[in-house]
Amino acid sequence: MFQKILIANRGEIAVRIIRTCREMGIQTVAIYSEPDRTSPHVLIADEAYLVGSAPSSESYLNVPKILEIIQKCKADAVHPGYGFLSENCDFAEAVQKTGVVWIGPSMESIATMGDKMAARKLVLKIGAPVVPGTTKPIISIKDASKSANKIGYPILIKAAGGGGGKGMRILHSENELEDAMVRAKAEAEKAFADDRIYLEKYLEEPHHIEIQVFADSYGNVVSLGERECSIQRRYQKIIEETPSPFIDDKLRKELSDTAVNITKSCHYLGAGTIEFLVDKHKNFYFLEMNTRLQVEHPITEMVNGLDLVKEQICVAAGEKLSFTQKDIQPVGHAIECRIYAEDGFNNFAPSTGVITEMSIPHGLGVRMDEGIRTGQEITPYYDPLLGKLITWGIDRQTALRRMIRALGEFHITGIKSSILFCLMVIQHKYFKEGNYSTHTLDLIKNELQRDVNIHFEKRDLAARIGAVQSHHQLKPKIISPENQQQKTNWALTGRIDELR
Amino acid sequence: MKFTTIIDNISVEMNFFPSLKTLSINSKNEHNIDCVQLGINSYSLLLNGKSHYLTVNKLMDGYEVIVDHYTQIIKVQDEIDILLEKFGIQNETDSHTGEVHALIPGLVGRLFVKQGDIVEVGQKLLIIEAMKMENEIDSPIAGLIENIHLKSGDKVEKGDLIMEIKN
Repeated sequence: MFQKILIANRGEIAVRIIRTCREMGIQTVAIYSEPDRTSPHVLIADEAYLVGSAPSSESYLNVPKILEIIQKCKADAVHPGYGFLSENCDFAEAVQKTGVVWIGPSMESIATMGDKMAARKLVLKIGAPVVPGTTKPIISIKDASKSANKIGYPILIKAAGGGGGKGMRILHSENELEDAMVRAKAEAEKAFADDRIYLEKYLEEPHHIEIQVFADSYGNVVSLGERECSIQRRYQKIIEETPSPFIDDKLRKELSDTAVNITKSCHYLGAGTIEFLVDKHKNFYFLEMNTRLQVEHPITEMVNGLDLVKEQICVAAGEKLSFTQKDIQPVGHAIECRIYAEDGFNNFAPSTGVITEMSIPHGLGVRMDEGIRTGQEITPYYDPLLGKLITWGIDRQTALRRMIRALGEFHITGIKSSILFCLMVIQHKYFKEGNYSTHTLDLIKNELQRDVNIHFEKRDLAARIGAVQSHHQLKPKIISPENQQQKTNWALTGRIDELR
Repeated sequence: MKFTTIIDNISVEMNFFPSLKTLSINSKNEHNIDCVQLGINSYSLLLNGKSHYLTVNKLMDGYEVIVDHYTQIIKVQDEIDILLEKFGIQNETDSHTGEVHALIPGLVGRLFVKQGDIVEVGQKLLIIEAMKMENEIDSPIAGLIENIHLKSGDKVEKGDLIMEIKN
C-alpha cells in the first residue's frame, strides 16, 4: 500500500480524499494556491505546499510546479479528485513517468473516454446508442452552421475537453450560433485548457441518469447502480438521488450492462461514470464517460455501504476489488444537495465574501462533505461548490424528509448559498412525487419564486424585529470622527429615553 | 422605544417594551419577544414562543435580514429619524440609477459597448468572469454610455463602478 498520497485538488473533494487516506493510515500532501492557505484541505493534511498564485492556471493547473512538489515531498501516488487535472492525460503521463502511481484510469482510457468525440466512436462500435451530433470538433462558423442544420435545432454546444456543463450552451436558431461559439470556446479554454467544441442534438424532456462503474486490474468490472441527476441549473447538477424514481429494474439492468460493456471496451481501471440521457419513452443514449470520481459519488457510497475513494486507492495499488457484482445489493435511498456559493433566486449569481458563521447539520442519516470553515474567504477564482449535504433513509420518503430537516438546520452567514433553493426544490410536488426531468427546474422556476415570497410574508414580523435589534445595537458602533451626524443622533436618542 | 420598519414601502410602527419583552405593532397587537444574539450576525428570536434563526447584515441604507433562510430587505427608522423627517430634514439620496457596479468580484471579460454608445434596457454591456463562469451584466436603463472606467482584463471588486449611463 502507498505511504503518502498527494491530492492535486482543493475544496471539498480534497478534504473528502484526505479523510479516507487518514483512515487508511496513509500520509497526505495538500497543494494550495495563495488565497487557499487557510482552506480546510490545507489544515487537515499532513503536509501542504504552495503551488502558485490565485488563478487556476498558475496553481491547480500548474503541471510543472505540481510535479516538482510530488518529487520534493516523495509522494508515491497522486489522487487528482475531479475537475482541474483529473482528466488531463498529459498530467497523468507525466506523473507516471516520475515513477509515481496515478490514482485513476490508464492514459489510454482517459484519452479515449475523456475526449468526448473519440468516446462516441468507441461506443458506436460496440453498438450502444448515442445522441446524434458531430464526430469532429467544430472549427469554423460555416462548419457549425452546416452540421447544426443537419442535426436540427435545438442543438447543444459542448466542450470536447471536459464535463460539468462548462462551455455548454443551448441554441434555438442559427443566429445565436456565432456568439455562442465564441463564448463556449472561451469557457472551454479556461476550464480545460482545450477550446475544442462540438455539437449535439438537444433531447426533449430527458433524464440524466448515470451508472457508477468500478474496474480492477484483474478484469473485474462492476456496476454500482445508477444516480438520477436530472435536477440541473446552468446544465450543472444540483440535486442527485439514488435509486432513480424514474426507471424500473429492467431499464436499470440494461443501463448497468451497457455501462459495464463500455467500461470493458476501454480497458478501464478504477472508478468511472457512464452518463446516459433517458428520454420520456425510456430510450437511452450514451452521453459521456467521466474517467474520475464524480462530485455526487457519496449517494452511491451511502446505499452500498462502500468507500469509493478507498476502493480507488486499493485498485491503483494493484489490489482486487473488495466486492463482486453479486455483492452489490443497494439498501435504502440517498439524496445529495450541492451547496454552492450562489443566489438561487437571483439567476444563480456567484457569491463571494467571508463566511462569518456556519452551522452544519448532523444527526441520524446525515452526511456533510465540506470544504469550508468559519472565517474562510470564498474567492471568485474557483468553482462555487462549498460542499455537499447527503441524507440516507430506508426509503425515499425518509431520505427526503431527512433532507428537508437537515437543510432547515443548515445556516451559512456572510455569503449567499443554494441552501434555500435546494429546500424549495425538494419540497415542490414534482420532486416529492419523483416526477421530474432535466427541464423541470426551468418549468417550475416561477412557482419556486412564488413559494419563496409566501414564506417571506410569513416571516415578515420576525424580520422586522431582527432589523430593529441590529439597528439598535449597531448605532453606537458606526460612530467615527468623520461621522458626527451619527454621534449626535445617538446621544439624542439616549436623552429622549432618559426623559421618558 | 419606537421604531418604524419598512419593507417594500409598507411601514409598520413598532413599540418595544424591553423590560417586559413585549412589542406592540401600530399601537395594538401585543407580541412576546425574546431576541438573543448568537454570533456576529446571528440571533435567536422567540416570537410568541415560535423559534426563528435570524441573520442580519447591514446594508447601505437598511438591513438584510434572513429569517430561517428567507431574506428580507428592511429599512429602520428610530425616533430621531422620524423626528428629523417631520422637520423635513432627510438624508440626501443621490440618484445612482445610471451607474453600473460590479455585483461580484472577478475579471472584466469582453466589453460589448464603448463610450458614446446608445444602449437599451437589458442590453448586454460586458462579461464579468468569476468562478469559471461568464456572468453577463445587462444595462439597468436605456441611455448613453458616458464613461467606462475599466477595460477588458481588469480585476474588479464587489461594488466597483464599471460604467455610467446617462438617460
